[in-house]
Amino acid sequence: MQGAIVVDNLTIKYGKRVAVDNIKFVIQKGEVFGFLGPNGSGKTTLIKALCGLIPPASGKANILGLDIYSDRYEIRDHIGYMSQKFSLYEDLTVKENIDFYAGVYRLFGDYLTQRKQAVIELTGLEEFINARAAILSGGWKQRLALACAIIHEPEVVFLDEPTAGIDPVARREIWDLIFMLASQGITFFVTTHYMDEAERCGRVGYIYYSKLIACGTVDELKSLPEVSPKNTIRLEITCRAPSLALAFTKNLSYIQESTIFGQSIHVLMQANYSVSQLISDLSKAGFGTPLVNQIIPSLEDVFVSLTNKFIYLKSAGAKK
Amino acid sequence: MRKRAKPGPLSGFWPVFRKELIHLRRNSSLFIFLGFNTLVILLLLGFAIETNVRQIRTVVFDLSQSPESKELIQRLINTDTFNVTKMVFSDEELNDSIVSGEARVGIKIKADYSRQLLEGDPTSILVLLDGSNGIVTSQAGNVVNIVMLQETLKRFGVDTSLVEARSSILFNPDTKTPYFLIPGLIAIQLQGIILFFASTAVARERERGTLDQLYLTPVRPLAVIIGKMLPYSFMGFLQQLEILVFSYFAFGITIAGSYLSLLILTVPFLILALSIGLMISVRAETPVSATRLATTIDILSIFLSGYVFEIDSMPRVFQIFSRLLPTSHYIEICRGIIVRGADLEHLWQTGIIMLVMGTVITFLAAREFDKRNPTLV
Repeated sequence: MQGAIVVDNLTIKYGKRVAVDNIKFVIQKGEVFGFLGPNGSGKTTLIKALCGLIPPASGKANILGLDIYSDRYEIRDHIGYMSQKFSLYEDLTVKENIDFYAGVYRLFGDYLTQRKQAVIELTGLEEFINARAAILSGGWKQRLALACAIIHEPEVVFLDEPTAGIDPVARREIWDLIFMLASQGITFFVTTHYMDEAERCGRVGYIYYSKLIACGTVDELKSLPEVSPKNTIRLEITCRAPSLALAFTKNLSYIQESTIFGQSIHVLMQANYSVSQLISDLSKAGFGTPLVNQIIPSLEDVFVSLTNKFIYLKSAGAKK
Repeated sequence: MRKRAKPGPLSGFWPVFRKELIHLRRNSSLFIFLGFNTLVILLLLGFAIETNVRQIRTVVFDLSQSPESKELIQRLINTDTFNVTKMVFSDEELNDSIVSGEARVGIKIKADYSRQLLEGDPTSILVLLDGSNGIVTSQAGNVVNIVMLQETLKRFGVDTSLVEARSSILFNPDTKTPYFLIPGLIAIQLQGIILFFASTAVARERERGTLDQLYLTPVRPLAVIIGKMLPYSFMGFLQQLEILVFSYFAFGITIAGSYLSLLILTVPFLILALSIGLMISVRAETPVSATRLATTIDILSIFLSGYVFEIDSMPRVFQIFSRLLPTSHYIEICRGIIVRGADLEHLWQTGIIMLVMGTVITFLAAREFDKRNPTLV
């Protein structure tokens, strides 16, 4: 298998607990790969393992052809990492932080000067160059973290919830930076909880209970049979009292799935029933005259469907 | 264009070293605090603490009231060991003054003391000693025995200066307490500061999350450990200099041996103390638990490394344990060079022992650092 990151039936254990269960995927050079999953599902553990911090229990993985565990020190020259929590030195200035990471990655001479210049320009940190990192706002801190993570021109960059807790404008700017760098051929592995961010990724993977339950482009995921089963249509209902309507639709026999989205409800309806049937059932129940439109599933729909199906299969398996 | 230097086993040493120096510089208030702390301890040790026992508060119940009994009391006072604060007139009073802590020693002279003495019969006096203070008790007991022996010999008309053990106390002729305590203090205080810094050096990074990032760079474990050790060793030398300079001006203590030898033999001690501190730091989950462990070692060092209590008098097990403490070796070096004027030729073995221990622990700490996963959450 070829690719910037190749993960082949990788299993990682914490003691006896399986944290990452037999995962397999390939990420190509220059891709921005979004990795999603609830807290505690194994996202960070996978990043740790890919960076060679935890030995795999079984299976293999390589980054740029280097084995993630046996070549772990060599790999670290080629990867960058940035965490959700600001993990640079707050009592050091912006410049001192950048100098430190440049030094740790053994840059020197003209190349050192050139790279420092490049990351400072790219992230726009020039005006804060002598400020202590502690006084920077969340967005600027993340820019500094990104600058330090890419100072050594890594081929692969891991971003662990890079935009958690920063404002929407700063979030946007960070993503613009990511895409600009990706266009230069850097591969990004990004974890996030934001669906809009995930929608922007070339491909996404969804991990749930340590298992990779979906992986593909956003469009591929939306057309998965689990998400859009044959003989079903996905509808958006706008009506009065959506939270009551949610409970109501959940009890209708021809509705397979029902989730609330702001002021509207997304449902998965059997195709042999008609939209007018649904409208009349709703108005009879006192929800006024609902507005119903057919929609393509959003990424959130995808994950809700996949998660429901996974839980269903798991409990069915447990009954056996 | 060659982009990067070649990786080696110490890759990342310089950046870590420079970064730690910046951390130290930014934390100057801590410097001032530690310098001040050392001064206060020096003052206390130099002026307040006296390990030579003298002027023990004593009460006397003299039933004899004779010239002989008065002479005996005067002899005891003349030793400078006893300070007769009160004469009492009943057994009860005698007992009470010791129970209440008013006096440490009670002396009762029988009514027929003088008569028995003059008739040449054996006689005795009663000496009550406060057992709650061991050092005072034994010292007082010894002095009373000596005085009584002299008294006996005198009665037999023997010249008490016939046989005399002339002890000559070398190096510290006045047995001044600062000479005894300050070299030990250098060791204890140096270790205290080293452990304080080193034990939080890694644990603090773990708590702040900066360790996660560090683990994902190609910096080598040994480079992190040594890069953190060096700046703190500067602190150690500074601290040592402060104590030496201050004790010269305040107590007139000079280094009998050579300062250079002291510096040379301080290096292995610093390596050992730093490696222990970093080992604690690498293993600790939080700076608080690291500091707690470091403090425990400090306290053990005060009691078990010969700072106050002689190692040779300890049970065998504790003697062995004592040799595991960096200070037990370094106190020997400090006393040797500062008080006895010893030199490298007398003390090099102690230096080598610390160097070997320190090097082994440094490597173990580096290995442990590599094994410990960061706490990415």
